[in-house]
Amino acid sequence: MASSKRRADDHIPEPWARGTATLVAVIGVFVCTDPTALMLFWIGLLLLLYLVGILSLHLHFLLFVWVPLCLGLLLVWGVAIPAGNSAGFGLGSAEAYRTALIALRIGAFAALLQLCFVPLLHRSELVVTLTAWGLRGSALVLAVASMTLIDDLRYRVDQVMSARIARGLAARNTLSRVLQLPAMLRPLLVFVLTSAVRRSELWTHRGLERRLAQIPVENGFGSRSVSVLILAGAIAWLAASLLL
Amino acid sequence: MTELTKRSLFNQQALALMPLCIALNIALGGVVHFLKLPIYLDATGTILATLLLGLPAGVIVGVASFLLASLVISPVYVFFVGTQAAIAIYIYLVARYLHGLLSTPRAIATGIGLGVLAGVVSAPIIVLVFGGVSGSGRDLVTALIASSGQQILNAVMLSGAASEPIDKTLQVLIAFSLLRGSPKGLLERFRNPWLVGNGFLKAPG
Repeated sequence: MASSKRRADDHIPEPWARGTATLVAVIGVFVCTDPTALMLFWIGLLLLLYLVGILSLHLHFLLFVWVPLCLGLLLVWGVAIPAGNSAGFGLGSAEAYRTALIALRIGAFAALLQLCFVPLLHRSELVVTLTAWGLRGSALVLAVASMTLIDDLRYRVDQVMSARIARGLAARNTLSRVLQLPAMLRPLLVFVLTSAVRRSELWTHRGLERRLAQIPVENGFGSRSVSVLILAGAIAWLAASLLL
Repeated sequence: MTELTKRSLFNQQALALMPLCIALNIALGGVVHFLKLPIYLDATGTILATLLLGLPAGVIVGVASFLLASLVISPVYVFFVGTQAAIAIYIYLVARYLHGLLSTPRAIATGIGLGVLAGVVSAPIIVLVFGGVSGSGRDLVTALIASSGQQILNAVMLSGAASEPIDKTLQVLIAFSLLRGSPKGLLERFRNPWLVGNGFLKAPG
């Protein structure tokens, strides 16, 4: 059992290292003023995201959040502000540098956050990591329950919407769709309230907080060599950001 | 009741409702997407938690839901946790001291105020981190104001104050309508002075 556990967390950093390395690397992203260095750092993160198997999540972010942000940056800094300054239209070198830096920082920051924390969401080391970060009792219940309930509630949202489509209640124009909202959300709120009452009774009955307080903090979880490696990488990135 | 529960800030019922409100904040995106509405509904859970459980719970729900949304939806949410905290504080103060959800006109006024507050609070973050843009239709308004020679911070604040009230008024009205239509027996479980003061529950006796 112990050897299989050791094999399972061989490639995972220790919780303290995960948190510290992320913080150091995020500071590096926001103090870096060299677009080329940011671009290279981001490409490195993309490779790691691919290896971890969550590149599609980042591509979704790029398509639906990052690209619209870049278009907004071009609109505001490339068209509106030069026009307001009476210096004519077009992206000057200072504005081009500024927009490139902002766009690259947001992209690299997003990739970093997804790489460091998304793999935790549906894995067994979530509770271990959260307890190692100091979450206990109520805070731990809140964090773990929130993550598990999102899927529950999304399923309930799908059920409510399917029921409305089956009854032919899907509206066509925007106003009637807005007016539909309370009718669609009321079953959800009733579910939320009844579920909260039921869960609280269950948790009291089973002594959930007492049980959670008894969970030991596993200091030995994760690989020390992976921890040292990612921490060294993050510090090297921060140093490079400051020097470039 | 265990010793641990006595020591904790929230009772078991509040503790069970808060994760559901967090999940509600995140899952409502699905409803908006399905109805193809140009709104967010990302603070409905925060508003409901504040009204049902009070200020600390509202702030925790708002902040935690945006931290979680930054992992499951988009990492940019993490920059707006302060706005969520401000939303909870505003709703608590308005509901408790001004009875801002006593009637539909009051709820509309509360929503407009909330929109202006959210627009102003999020403006510095939008300028510092995102260069003044949000990646939505609001950028057109920002660009229009900036092209008239306004500073970027002013342009973002004004565009926020112009566009956020619509979204936030809808969210307050939805929360208001949901609580008005909820079974009173259920709301009784969460009885507090501002639920009574805003007419969601009758005063005892």
